[in-house]
Amino acid sequence: MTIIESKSESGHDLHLAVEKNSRLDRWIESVSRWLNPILIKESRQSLKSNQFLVTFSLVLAAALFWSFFALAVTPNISESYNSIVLLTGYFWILAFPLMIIVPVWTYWSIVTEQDDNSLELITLSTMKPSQIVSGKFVTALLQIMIYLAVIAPCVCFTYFLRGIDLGHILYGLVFIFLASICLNAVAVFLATCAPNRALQILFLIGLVFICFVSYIYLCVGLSEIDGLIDNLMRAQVNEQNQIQLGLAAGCLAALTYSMVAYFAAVANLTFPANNRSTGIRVALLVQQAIFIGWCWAMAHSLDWSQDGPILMIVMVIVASIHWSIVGSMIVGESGEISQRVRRGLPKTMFAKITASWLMPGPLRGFFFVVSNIWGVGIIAAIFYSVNVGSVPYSMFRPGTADVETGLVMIFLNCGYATIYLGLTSLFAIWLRGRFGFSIPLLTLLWGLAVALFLNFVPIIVLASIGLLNEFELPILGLPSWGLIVAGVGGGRVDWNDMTVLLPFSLMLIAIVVANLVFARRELGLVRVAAPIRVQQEIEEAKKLAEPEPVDIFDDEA
Amino acid sequence: MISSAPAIEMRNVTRMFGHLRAVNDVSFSVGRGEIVGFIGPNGAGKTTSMRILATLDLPTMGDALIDGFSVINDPDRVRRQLGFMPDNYGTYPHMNCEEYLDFFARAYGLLGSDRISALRRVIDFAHLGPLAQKSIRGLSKGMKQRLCLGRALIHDPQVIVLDEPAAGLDPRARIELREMITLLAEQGKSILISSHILSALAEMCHRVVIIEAGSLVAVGSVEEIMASTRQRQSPDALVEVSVRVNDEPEKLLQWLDENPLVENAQLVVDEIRFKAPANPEVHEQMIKELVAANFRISSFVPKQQSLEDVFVEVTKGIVQ
Repeated sequence: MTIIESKSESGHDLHLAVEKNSRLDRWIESVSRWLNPILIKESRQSLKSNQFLVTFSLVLAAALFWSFFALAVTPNISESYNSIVLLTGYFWILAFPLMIIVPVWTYWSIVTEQDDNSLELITLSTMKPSQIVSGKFVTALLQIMIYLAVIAPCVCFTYFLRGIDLGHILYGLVFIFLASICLNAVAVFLATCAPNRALQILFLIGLVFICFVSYIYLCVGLSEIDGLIDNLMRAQVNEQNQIQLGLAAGCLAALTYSMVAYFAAVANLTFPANNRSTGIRVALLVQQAIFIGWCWAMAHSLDWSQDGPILMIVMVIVASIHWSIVGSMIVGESGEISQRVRRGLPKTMFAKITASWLMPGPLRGFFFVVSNIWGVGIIAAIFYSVNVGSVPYSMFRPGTADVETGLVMIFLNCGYATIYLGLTSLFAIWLRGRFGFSIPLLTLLWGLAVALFLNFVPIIVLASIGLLNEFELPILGLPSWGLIVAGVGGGRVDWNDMTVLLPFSLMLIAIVVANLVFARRELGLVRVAAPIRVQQEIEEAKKLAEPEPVDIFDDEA
Repeated sequence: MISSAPAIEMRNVTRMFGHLRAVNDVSFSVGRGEIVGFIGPNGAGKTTSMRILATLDLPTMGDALIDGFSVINDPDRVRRQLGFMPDNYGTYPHMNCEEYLDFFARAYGLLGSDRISALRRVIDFAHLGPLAQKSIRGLSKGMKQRLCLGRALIHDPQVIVLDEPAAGLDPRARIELREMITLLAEQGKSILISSHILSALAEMCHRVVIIEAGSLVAVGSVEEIMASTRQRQSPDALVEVSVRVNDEPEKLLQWLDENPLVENAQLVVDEIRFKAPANPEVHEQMIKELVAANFRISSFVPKQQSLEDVFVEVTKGIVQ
């Protein structure tokens, strides 16, 4: 880098280090324009900090110490089966900065910038909130890469030892890397949720706890990596697929929730009048698609006749729980639909019906979540009813296999989730009407309270029809099962006896209709035109983008 | 194309924090190339209003426009037009000044030669040349203020909002800041500036907006506000007058003591100071009488109201 010294108009010498004249400098400059400004800033700032220097040195020292220690206590390590201990030791050392130091640093870096108002100065620039959040993420990634580079020679060395192959190394590194990414996502999300010092400290304690528990849990798990690889090697092809799908489930859940946390952090930094919801909702849709895809892959790798239908029911139960929690927060969104958001509302009726659910608004959010719950339910019901004919037993009571039981179970699960959510949405409507605002955390707490209360209903039903002896503890967590037991009195659905279904369905319809009535105003909002000044600016931008017309017959042109 | 809309327009802006009306139905505008002083006691709502203009806060009611763009509905467009210097801001201690400005230039999407020329322009304008390679950690308050001003100007905004830019500056730095602000206005930029150093504001501002307890108290040029306060003054209001005579000041002192319109006449070094009705016609009459009484007057100066006087006159010292 060459520093050019020149006299400015005011007579001062200007030392602009950013002016570069060597080819390499020019290349770096041209590359840097594609980089996130936050990454460049953090590279200049944080990588010079004492925290980074100390952690880097400690990781290096720990790796060296562990290497010498392991070699000293196991002189013939290259021939020893204990070499896996050396590798897991490196994993413990690597995971510490990746799973504790880096996420906590990411959290603290955002919180500090919030405190000294420098984050405000960044949000005032033309950087988008997504750029700010991804800048912090990429910086964390850079630190992860640096720590990985520190430990890489040691880990590579273990490859030459007996009993360690590429699988051991790659599985360990990938798990640590993914865990670090997820914890960083949690850190970024929590940091953007903490507006004052008390919450910042509370979240910091929570984050350190989460990081520490995850660190211990993962590292203890990695200590068993030899067993995992062994099982994989010995398993049949089908079982191998299942183990890998099981591992993939954990990774995909962690990654997709990280993606949702990322979009939630972006929404937290987005100006209130702008669209904060669509990003999160699209991320949730993608997550749902990945989940269904995973269930489909798992169903294929399983013996469908044995486990397929159960998997479909499990899919619906997991989706119902997930959407009940996420939906409780979505219906707590602000009820104010800004003019800016209304500019982006769909124009046509078709677009209103299909794409409107992704737009901001708590009642739009309610119907978005409900359509997702029932979407999963319908997919599960189709798979279930097509394939259940071959099922030799009922999942509820031996010897009572039938299509109806599964379908009713799916219906009840989706219905339950919709009722929870509908009641939470009505509570949020009341909050907004009474106090002028609703808070997602408050509606989530309400949603959980409603779920807790309604989960007792099947027990009441069981007691009222004298079947309390049928009560089992899981019914509390899965009320639809309780209703099945109550409704069928022995585990088999007989439509004539399903008296429980009628009041249940009526309640479901009433709650959805009540929400629809209140949603009328929100759904009735129409697209508004951009203000004249904005239209002027768009026109000006278009004119600037268009090339000047050239008269080809004009000689001077 | 420059729009015909005012550079800054506050339209009935109200901002409530719980039951507290921090800003109460405030409306004013700033024209292009105009410097407007925004003054008021501590807690009057200046910073809240400026944060609303800077798209860092939302009004509870009303709207504010920058170059015709709403701060509520088009904050991204507002941010492109606006340079904001808050009263309390963070810097990055591990960076030097050039790196700091370079980061914000990148954050505003300036690339390649545009970024370098923006850096040159700002470093030159804010006299940051000798500090460019200096760590921010070692900068004085005044230097940091210049750096922050440079940051606010890096994307060459047409509208600039400065919240207490002169706070904590030494006299030389204040003069430099005043010169910079005047220069910016000459370049056609519109500036809204808040400060407690009213003498400095009076010198550079075309108009002032006075706010107290969240409500607008007065808007206009210093002279207009002075005139309106004079109109509001009662006929009995007194003003201090300084008179110099070429000889026999004691005799004049005696003459003044006997005059029923004069109060508290006293000789201070070589001039006589007394209080008389603020009405200019009374002053005119008094001069005629002095001349008729054969006093050789070299000066008769009723004390002019300063912005401080106007401020004290129009505000009531209400604290929310």
